[in-house]
Formats: sequence, structure tokens, C-alpha cells
Amino acid sequence: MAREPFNPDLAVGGAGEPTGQRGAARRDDAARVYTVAELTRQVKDAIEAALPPTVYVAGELSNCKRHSSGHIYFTLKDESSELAAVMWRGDASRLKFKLEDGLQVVVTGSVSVFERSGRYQLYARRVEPRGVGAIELAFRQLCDKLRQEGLFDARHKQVLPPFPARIAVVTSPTGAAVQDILDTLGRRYPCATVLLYPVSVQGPGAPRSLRDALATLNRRQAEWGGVDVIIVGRGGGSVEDLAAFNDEGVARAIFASRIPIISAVGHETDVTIADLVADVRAATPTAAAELATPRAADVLEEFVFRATRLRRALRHLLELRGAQLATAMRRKPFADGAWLVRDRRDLLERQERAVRAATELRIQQIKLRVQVLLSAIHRLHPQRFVAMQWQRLAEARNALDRGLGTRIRVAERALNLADARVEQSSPRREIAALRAQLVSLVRRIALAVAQCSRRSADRLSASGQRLAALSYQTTLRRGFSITRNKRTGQVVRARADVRRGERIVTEVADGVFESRVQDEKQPELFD
Amino acid sequence: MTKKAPTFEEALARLEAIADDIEQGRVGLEESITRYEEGMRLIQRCRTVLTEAEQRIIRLQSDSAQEPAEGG
Repeated sequence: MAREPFNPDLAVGGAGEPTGQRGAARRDDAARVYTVAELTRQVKDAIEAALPPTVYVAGELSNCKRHSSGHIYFTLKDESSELAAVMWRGDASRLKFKLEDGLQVVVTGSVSVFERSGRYQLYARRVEPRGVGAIELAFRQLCDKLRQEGLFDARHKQVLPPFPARIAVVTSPTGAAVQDILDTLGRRYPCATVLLYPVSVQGPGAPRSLRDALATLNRRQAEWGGVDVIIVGRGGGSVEDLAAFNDEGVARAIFASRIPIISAVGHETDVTIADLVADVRAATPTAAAELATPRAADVLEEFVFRATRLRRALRHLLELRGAQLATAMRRKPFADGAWLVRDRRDLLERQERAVRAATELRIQQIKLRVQVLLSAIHRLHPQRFVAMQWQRLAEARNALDRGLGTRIRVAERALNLADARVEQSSPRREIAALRAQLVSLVRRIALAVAQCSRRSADRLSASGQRLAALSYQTTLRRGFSITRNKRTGQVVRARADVRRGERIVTEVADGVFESRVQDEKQPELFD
Repeated sequence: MTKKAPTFEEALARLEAIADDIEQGRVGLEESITRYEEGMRLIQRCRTVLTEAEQRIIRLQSDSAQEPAEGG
């Protein structure tokens, strides 16, 4: 057989033509030269023929790389082989979890050859984790991520206010949770106002709905007078139903809330990411309402206790003050008013006695002093004093007498002389005048003497009177008497003190007697 | 808005202070009585709020349109 010239247009492919000749021809063509494209094409066809359009491959992920384009390139491997794989952006966006190296997965896709590069690849349409569900895996991955960021940390948890005035309830308005919450709140703590904020709690719009609700409550809380706590939750459901509460955006909104949040999602055993981020986790919606509020009855009891404490405190204080007052009242001045009067009276009497005693004493002192003086005076011999005075008077009189006599004699002599001279001379008028002079002189002398003696007598009498209280009795016994004008009662000291016919009373040592003035004469010394 | 003036926290704090003052005898008798009365009035107001309150529910409108919720 002549060798056919090489004809590249002769396609060799498909299922093959099992003609002996052809087969022989192929065998004969073992040395045929393919183009790269031809060969690549052959491989592609062979692979596509050998495998079903959709294959399921199990293996371990490695070399996962997400391109900026959104496509993910990875390798699927097991103990002995590796398989390059790619997931286009569109399919990748539907992944519920993140492709990470080491994950055991089952990839759904198809194998084909990328002719350009001459490589065969697994074109992944779906990737499912092996051993655990995709959702579960996604949940775990998100948990780890948020936990690492610290969103679950206890120190970020806010304290619930003890007496919330306004409680926001974020849940489905038609679900089972809302009525439980409202009932519990109404039963326990009706004085709190409930702000009911309806949201979707499942479905594609739920995460957005929840996020908006939390953001709005935080932003506009002033409009409602402040929101003290938020209860976020829903009733029980499947993992898919609860998915919104595992949403990352919702978790971050819960974390960012300045208002404390209680999460109450599903049943006791359902734990969602919302539960982990929230400030408090409640097992059920009812439990959430119980955690949010105190029991009104308990608060009431607290106030009753306070009232009791106040009452007791005041009563105690009153008793204390009352006891103090009673003690003060028992002291003498207050307990016995009469005592006070008696006390004053005693005081008065004491003072009176003291004054009297002092007065007595003073009198005694004066008396003593008088006695002393008296004895002093006595020592001075009052009689002698008087006698002395009389003596002096007498002497004065005598002296006067003598003097006067001398003077009169002198005057007489002078007169005689004068007479004689007058006899010799002539003037009788002169004589008369001289005589008159003499007479007047004598009169004046007599008057002076009388005055002198009267003065002395006065003085004496005064002295005598001074001594009268002390010793005028002895004077009287000596023979002196005191004469008083009966009418006026005055002591008669001079004859001028009496008129003829007046009654006078004379006091002598042992009594008095009356008399009448008989004669009044001008006192003349030489009668 | 129901404004409990003052709040329960404030009321309890005030009552604590009043009780302390009276117990310690820090203020005079007259003043003690005045504070006691103030305390009792405060307690009475709070008790009234607690015993006579009826639950108020305010339904808020969400900002954005929502799909009707299912389940719950």
C-alpha cells in the first residue's frame, strides 16, 4: 500500500471508526504527527467522553486563592493525586462558607480541558463541606472570626438597667415570640412602656430588616424619651430559619448598639451568633422579658422595706430625743415648779436676814463708835470743859470789867479833865458832845461786852447743847436750868427772847416748871 | 412619655440618703421629720406607679418597607 501523504484535514476523533482498515490505518499512523491543537482536542474529547457531564469529586482543599476577578482557584487533592480546580465568580458568590485550605469537601462540577493552556481542570459549580453542613461550617467560620475580633468578649457586654422605663421589642409582629414577650412584660412590670418594632426574622430581607431596626432604635431613641433595653428575637425554627441571626451584619449591629440588647432566638438549644454577641442571652422570649425587668412586686417590696426603715429610724430618733427630754425634765427646776418659788423665797429671806444682820451690825458698830466717842468726850471732862468755858467767860468778863473799869475811869478822868478844861474854857456843847460820846462809848462797850458775853454764852450754850445729849443732865444737876419759851418752844437765851407776860418753861435736873416773865429790863451790867 | 420623675434608681438613692441621715442623727429633729415626710411621699409616688400602671404598647413603623414575615 502506498503511503498516503499526510493530510491534516483528515479528522481523527470521535468514537473512532472500528474498521479494520481504519484501525490498521491508525496503527499505521502511530507515527502520525499531531498538531498541538489536534492532540489537545483529542484529549478534551476523550475526557468529556469518559466522564459524565457532572461529576462529584471528594478531596481536600489546598492552594485556595480568590482572584480579584472573583474567581476562586484551588487544588483538590487526596493522598496520591491532585486536581486543579476553578470556581467562577457567579458560583463562588453562592458559597455559604469560605473555601479554606484543609477543608474536606465534595465538589460538584465538570472536568474539561482548557485548550489554551492544555490543562484539564475541574470547573466547580458547587462546593459542599464534607462531614458538616455548609451552613454549619459558615457559622463556625463566622464565629471564629468574630470571636477573634473580640465581639463576644465579656468586657464588652453592657449591664441591663434595673428599672427600664422603655423596652423595645424587635421581632416579627406575627410570630409566636411577640405575644409571649408582651404578656410577660405586662404581667411582671407593666409600668414599662413597650416599643414594638416589627421586623422580618427570616428570609433574604431579614438581616437588613434587623440591622435597620437596631440602627433606628439607637439613632432615634430620644424621640421616645430614651430606650433602656432592646429584646431581639424570634420563635423556634430550622437552622435556615434562624440564618438571619447568624448574619455578620446583624451581629455587628448588635455589637455596635449603645442600648443593651437581650437576644432570644429560637429554643433553648438554638445558639446563634446574635446570642453570642448580645449583652445577655435568653433561652426563650419569655425568659428575655423576665431578664429585662424586675418583678413589680419585688420592687414594691423594696419600697415597703424602705418605708419601714424610715419609720423605724424616725421613731428611734424621736424616742432618743424624747428620752433626752424626759431626763432633762426630771432635773429639779423643771420637775418641781414649786421648788423654784420656794427656792426664790428662801433666797429672799436669806438676803433679808443678811441685810438685817448687816444693819444690826452696822448699828452696833455705830453704837460702839458712839460709846467710844462718848468715853473720849468724858475723858475730856465735859464738866471741866463747861467749867473751863464758864471760867474763861468769867475771866473774860473780869478782864472786860477791869478793862472797862479802867477805861471808864480813864474816861472819867478824861471827862473830869475835860470838864475842868471846859470850866476853864467854855463850850458846853463840846462837853455835852463828849458826854454823849462817853455815854455812847460806854453803851457800845456794854453792848460789845453783852454781845461778847452773849456770843460766849451762845457758844457755851451750843457746846452745852452739844453735850446735852450726853451730859446735860449733870449740868442741870449742877444747878443749871434750861428755859424755853412755852409758845415757841425755843430755848430762851436772851431777855429779848421773852416779853413780859410770856409763859416760859424751865427745865431743871429733875423736871420742869412754868413761870411767867415779870420784868423785862434792858440788861445793864451794873444794876 | 411617661416620665417617672424621679426614676426608681434616683428614688432609691434618695431614700438611702434620707434613711442614713436620720439614723445617724446627722440632721436636727425638725429636719429629720421633714425628710421623713419627703421620703414617704417619694415612696408613695413610686408605689402608685408600680401598682396602678397599665402596660403601654407603642407600635413603631420601621423605616424601610419590609417583606411580610413568615414563621417566627
